[in-house]
Amino acid sequence: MKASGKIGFEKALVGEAGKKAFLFSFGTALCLFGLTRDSFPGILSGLWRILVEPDYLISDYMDVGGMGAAFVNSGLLTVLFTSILVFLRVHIRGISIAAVFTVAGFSFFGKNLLNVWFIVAGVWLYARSRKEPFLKFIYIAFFGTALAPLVSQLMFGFHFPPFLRFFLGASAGLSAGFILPPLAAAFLSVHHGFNLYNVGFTAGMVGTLYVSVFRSHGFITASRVIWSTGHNGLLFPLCTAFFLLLAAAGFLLGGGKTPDSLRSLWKHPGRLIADFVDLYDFPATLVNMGLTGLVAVAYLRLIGGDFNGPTLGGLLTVAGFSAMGKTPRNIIPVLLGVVLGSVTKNWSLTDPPIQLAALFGTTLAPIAGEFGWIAGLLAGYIHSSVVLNVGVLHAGFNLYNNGFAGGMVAAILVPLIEAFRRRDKG
Amino acid sequence: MRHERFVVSRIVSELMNFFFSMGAGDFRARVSRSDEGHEIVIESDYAGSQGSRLREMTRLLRMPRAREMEQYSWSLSGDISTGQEIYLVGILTDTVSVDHDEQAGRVRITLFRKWD
Repeated sequence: MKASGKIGFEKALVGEAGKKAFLFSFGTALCLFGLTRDSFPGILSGLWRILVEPDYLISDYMDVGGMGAAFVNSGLLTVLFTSILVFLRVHIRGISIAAVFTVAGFSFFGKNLLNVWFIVAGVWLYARSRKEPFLKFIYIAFFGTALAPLVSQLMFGFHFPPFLRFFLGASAGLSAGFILPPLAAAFLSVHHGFNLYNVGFTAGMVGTLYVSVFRSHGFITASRVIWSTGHNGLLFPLCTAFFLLLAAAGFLLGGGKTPDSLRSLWKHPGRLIADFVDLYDFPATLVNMGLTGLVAVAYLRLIGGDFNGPTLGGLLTVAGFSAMGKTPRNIIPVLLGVVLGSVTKNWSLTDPPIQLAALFGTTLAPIAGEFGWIAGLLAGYIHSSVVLNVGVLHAGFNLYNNGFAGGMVAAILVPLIEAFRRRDKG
Repeated sequence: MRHERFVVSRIVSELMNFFFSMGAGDFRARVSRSDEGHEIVIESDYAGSQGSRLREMTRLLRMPRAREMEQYSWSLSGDISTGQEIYLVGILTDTVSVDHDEQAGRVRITLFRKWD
């Protein structure tokens, strides 16, 4: 048998234009839904409140600026970040969908139209300084916006003269973005790709460094939880319908090929970089995103959780990473591990940080995918404890707190599991 | 990419891991560097009947190069090898040719990675 040459993008069932249209439509739909939830002046004033709010964890934009402004903020950022990919002529793959959905999700609780750009610009400056194209660092820039609250806190959280606040916030954002690219690559080998939110782990380390310096100078931020409730009647059916639509669209686009592709996809352990769009094509990926999203929605509903900005962020991130690693098969053990934790530990599954720990704890899904259900259960169980204790290190300035905690859990668990399961001679 | 030699060595390491996991007893790698880039030639045997794994390997090696993912992913190749990481080799290389002699139980892979 002889095979040569690379597989061309033109062989894909859905072309580049279709995938770009999907991401743009998603952003536009978020904006349009937001516009139905409030008057135009109401949305503008809500957006302003979102921009000037210190955004460290947990700051629910549905409470800060209202539901309309939160959806418009998320939709606009989705469209803008997709536009960057289009401008740079990046092929839309699973990682692109994961990155854009993660930005969309966290734009409900921490990323806004002002604070993200300083991080992106910092990464761009790094690329310029190394004389490398920005394209190579684009996903580190996108995921790196996890540190956007650093900017907002310094600009709006302290009582300095406005010029000084702007200077400090911009400097912190630019410098954080500047140091992320080399660190993101280095930290991958710490958890061996078993923590899907790798930049979250890196950002946690960077956030810890910055906050330590701030604290040494007497800047202390009190922890807080801004968490809206009462949206379940609207957002539960909306999320369910959205994920059903994704799954149905995937089945329609893929035709008869989808079930076979989906079966293969679900056998994948999901370890980074499992780009499902490249590996199994876009339609099967869409079905996986829809079904995995539905599992997360069902979990939230069953435990009596809240559908609000932060949990919507969790659901969208789960769906986004279902284009790059997550499947129903590998997230369910992690979710069950968190549930098991609620039996033996002194917290409730409906506590806000625990609702997020379960949804975002699925960053450890590859552990279940690679080593089996028990390992996944153990990972979820341990993660639900670790995540409650590491946020204090970066004072909530790293939005991907679960990525930070997940990195630590994976770094410890994976070598142990590997050590005890290896039986081959090599 | 500034880590070009590391990337190339990770590619070789990844394929060596892969073939040893398939019971290889004789794995050979040759890397030539030129003005255009690096050519990596791998020759290996394997144990038993591994047709489906080799077909999947070939599919993954044929994935198009993804420069925008390199900085994010290159350090994972050659790490813990589960077989799926061959995808990383695919997206790190520009051209590929796989010659599989099923009767002899040998595979020859030629990869080329261009300089940026």
